[in-house]
Amino acid sequence: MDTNLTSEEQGQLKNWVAQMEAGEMAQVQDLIQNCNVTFQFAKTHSVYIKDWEKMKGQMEGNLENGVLPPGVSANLFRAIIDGSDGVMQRKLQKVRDAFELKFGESIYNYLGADGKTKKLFGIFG
Amino acid sequence: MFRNTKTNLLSDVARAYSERTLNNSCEFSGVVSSYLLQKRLIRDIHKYYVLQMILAAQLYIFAIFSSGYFIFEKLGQERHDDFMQIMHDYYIKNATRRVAAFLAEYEPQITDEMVKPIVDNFIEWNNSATRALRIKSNDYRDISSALFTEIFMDSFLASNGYDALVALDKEKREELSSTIRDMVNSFGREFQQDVIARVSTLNGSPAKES
Repeated sequence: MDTNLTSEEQGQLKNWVAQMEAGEMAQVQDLIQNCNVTFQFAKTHSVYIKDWEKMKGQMEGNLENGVLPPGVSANLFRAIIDGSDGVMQRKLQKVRDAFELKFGESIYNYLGADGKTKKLFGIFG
Repeated sequence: MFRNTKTNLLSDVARAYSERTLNNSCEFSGVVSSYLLQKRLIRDIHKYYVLQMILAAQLYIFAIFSSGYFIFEKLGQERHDDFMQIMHDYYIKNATRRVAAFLAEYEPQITDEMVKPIVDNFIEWNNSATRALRIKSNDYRDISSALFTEIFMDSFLASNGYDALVALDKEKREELSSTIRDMVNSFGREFQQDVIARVSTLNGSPAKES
């Protein structure tokens, strides 16, 4: 737990992380149950990462510019970003594990090392 | 008045659907191409990007084709023609720019100007193949199935140097074909729910859902 936070903020952070974790994991569970196509499963992993990177970038930008939600301190907002990142990393790990279990191969057979569609800089031409 | 409202509604649907579908098409074609590259079924990097462009275009066109068919079934010929005109006038023309933007995220040298001729040629090929198939059948399911499994996978890819892809083992090839169809169906379901919800609101009563 972040010791820079007041006890009230620690409670708010805990609730935020718990709610986010429940929502994100439910989404993964739905994917595991309903998606039976390797390419589509892998695409979803790639999209999860890109969406989160975009969202995290916006949150970091807001923190840097002092644009905070009402009643949320900079410390709490920092902790929310880090807590959310932790949730997303667990979510992505769950997707990768489920892929291997479901299809018997690594999700990286379909994606680049960063978990997104493969990058090949500077070769086009 | 009512016609204008419905056309505006279709325009809103077209905008939202086109945006999501094109994004999904690009992501999906990226994963398929990544897989083929890692399996060494594509070795040439230029071909890797070109395949992403044409796969994204193929998926996008299929999805629009299928959504147009749905509009025709549910709302009639006039609405279908309005819808397809909106899609054609704005979104298909913008498709190359969006595909280029997606690829530029990975390869900054890629520009709209590089993508446009490749996608335009592909769309022209696709339209001509579709016209030929329409002589045999009017059912969009028959047409899209034949277009991908027979014509795209065999004629188009083989004639463009994707021999390894054409020679893909039967199981993987079928998985790829059914995946493309599943993706189009999944876009189509989302689109249908969206249209049904909006038309229901407009009519003040639930629209019939098939």
